[in-house]
Amino acid sequence: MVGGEGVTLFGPTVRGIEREAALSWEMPDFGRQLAEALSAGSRDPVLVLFDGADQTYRKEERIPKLSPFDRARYIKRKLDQAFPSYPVRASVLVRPPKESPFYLFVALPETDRLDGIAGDMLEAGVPIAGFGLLPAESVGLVKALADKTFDRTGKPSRWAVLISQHETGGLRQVVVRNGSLALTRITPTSEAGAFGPGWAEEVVREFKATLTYIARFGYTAEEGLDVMVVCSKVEKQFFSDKSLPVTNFRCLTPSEALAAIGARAVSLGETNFGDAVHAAWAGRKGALSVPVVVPSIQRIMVPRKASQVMAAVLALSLAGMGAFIASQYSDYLSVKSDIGGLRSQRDYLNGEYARDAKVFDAFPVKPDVLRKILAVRKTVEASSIDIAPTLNLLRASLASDIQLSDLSFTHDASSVLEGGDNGLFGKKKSEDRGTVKIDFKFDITGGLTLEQKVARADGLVKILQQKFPGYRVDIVHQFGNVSSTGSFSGEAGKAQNAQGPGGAGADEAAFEMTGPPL
Amino acid sequence: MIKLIGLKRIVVLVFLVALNLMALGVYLFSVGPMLDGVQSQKDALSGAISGLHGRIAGVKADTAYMQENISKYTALQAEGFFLPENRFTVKDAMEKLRVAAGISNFAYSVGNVKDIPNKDAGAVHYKLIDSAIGVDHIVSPLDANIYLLVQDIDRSFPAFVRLQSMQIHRSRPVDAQSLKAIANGQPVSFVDATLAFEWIAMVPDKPASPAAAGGFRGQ
Repeated sequence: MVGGEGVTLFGPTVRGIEREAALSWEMPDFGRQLAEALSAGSRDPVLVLFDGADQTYRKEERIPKLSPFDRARYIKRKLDQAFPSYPVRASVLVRPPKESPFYLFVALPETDRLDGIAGDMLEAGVPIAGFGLLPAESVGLVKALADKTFDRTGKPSRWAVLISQHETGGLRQVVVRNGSLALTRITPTSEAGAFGPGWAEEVVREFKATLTYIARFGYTAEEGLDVMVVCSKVEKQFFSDKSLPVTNFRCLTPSEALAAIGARAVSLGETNFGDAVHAAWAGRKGALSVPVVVPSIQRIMVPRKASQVMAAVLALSLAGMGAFIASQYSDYLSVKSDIGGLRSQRDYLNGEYARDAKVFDAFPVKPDVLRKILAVRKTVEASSIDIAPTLNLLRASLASDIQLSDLSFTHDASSVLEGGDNGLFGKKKSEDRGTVKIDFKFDITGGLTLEQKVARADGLVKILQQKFPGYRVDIVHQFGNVSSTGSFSGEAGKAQNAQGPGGAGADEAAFEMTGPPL
Repeated sequence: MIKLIGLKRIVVLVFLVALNLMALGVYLFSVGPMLDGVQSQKDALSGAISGLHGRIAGVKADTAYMQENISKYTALQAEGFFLPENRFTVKDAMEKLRVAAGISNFAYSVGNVKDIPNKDAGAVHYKLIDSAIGVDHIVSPLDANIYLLVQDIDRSFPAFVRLQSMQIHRSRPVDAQSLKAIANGQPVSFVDATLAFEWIAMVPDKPASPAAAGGFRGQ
């Protein structure tokens, strides 16, 4: 904590927060002592909580609706206008419940003391967590203490004030309205000192002054005002809650205040100073409410934070790579052990293949050759037919009075013998068994007339077509070279010798049948 | 810069960077190549095993096929399907045929060996050969004997024989004169017939000896 009179250093321990050092600005070797104190303490990042008098606050309510990028530029311009001579500035958007949001502007001059502290932190080599303003960071502390200290069953007060004397110098009052900072004042330690009845009177006096200030901001007694004063047990007896026109009043020792916010302090004793309470509250926050960028501190903070982040990344990377390498090595061992088994399996299969190949090699021909040979044999056999069924069927189709004089049977199987896979889709022409042609000549005994023979011959065509399905049956030569419907020539007046052998009716008919083998 | 960041921090950073680089080096130059090596070995072995499984399955399937069908091959071998149509065997075969068919006499001829194009035979470097066999001047009392001859010829010849054509002509009527001639023991033929066959065999696709491939006539 940095104040008007000096610096107090608090560090975390297992048992709670501990005051490690308190250094006055007036000390001759302040810088060295601060650097030593920082080095000797824990190596946790250092949060600088500024409690000096020269910090300025302003409320900016009229913010137009803008895009995020334009809003940032607008705020920056407003900050420049509000604090033209303050190089250190910050802003935060505050959203009080049931009220319009507003911007809280803060600013402070970059004093040599802050630069000195930055230099001391550089010497000490400690990491820096950030720079914050005590009043802005303690707004939540006031609300938390008020909620814990006072009964909230009735109508809660809208206003709350936390008053504490700080070892770093001054009496700090933080006034909160509806959970947002309304006013803050710091009063230098008077001649009455930092404790005792004189100090209590000073507190009352300064609080009454604060009341007049907040009355200008709209405070009325109806709104309710809770007041908490951090002081030792001894100083408590000097306060009377009836003397102050407030809704609720309570004195809290630093230990009681720490306990109320769930913190503890080590070796606090019966101190009247409330620094530890603010330090404990700020130290437990994950992030500052109003982070302030002080160039000299920022110059040190950023590289150290970056190196911390980089170290964390490298450590994670190392852990990750270690885990990955371990996993890869484990895979290596596993695969290596698999290889032994696979080698055995391969050797076994090689043996099995050798045995099977030996049996196979004993055959006189290879399988593909045998397949082709059998295919050829099948083709050749398909090219041959048994003529007996065909001739028997022909004989059965002919009546007993039909006398054959010539019979010719031809089986053309030249296309069948070419064999092989045929056709675009590998369909075999195995169904093709060639073509059979049967030619026969016959006469009909029994003394039939020519007309009767011709009729019989025509009738025989139909019979043969029925008996030999798929066959084409043609009369090559009809009896008397006539047909019942075709052309015909003859002579009238000569003897009709159509009957009996040797006469004109004794000639033969010739048939031709063509079709697939039966 | 060292003071800004802190010597201790820089040392820690450098140490962490060095450890990271070492770990990377261990992986890139040792563990990684070792794993790649054994993985390659494993993949190669797995591939070899897969291949062996395939080959064994193939050999087993082929062996089963061969065991099932080799008897057909040996049967074809026994019947002379792979012999080059030796003309010297034709005479005996024809005589056997004549006697079995009950035919008195016939003339026969065997044509030159011709190649029959066949894709299956060509695929295994074999070829089909064909010799035309003609049978005529058959002295047979009845056509039934001729049918017998047609039926028997495939059994009597080596390799394979198929009927190409058969013409039978009634040459003389059954009259008293014919019957008298038969009673006198003279050979009488009531039918004339001409038969054409194809004698087919399958031989390796290389030139055959001239003596076995030429045509000839006999009685």
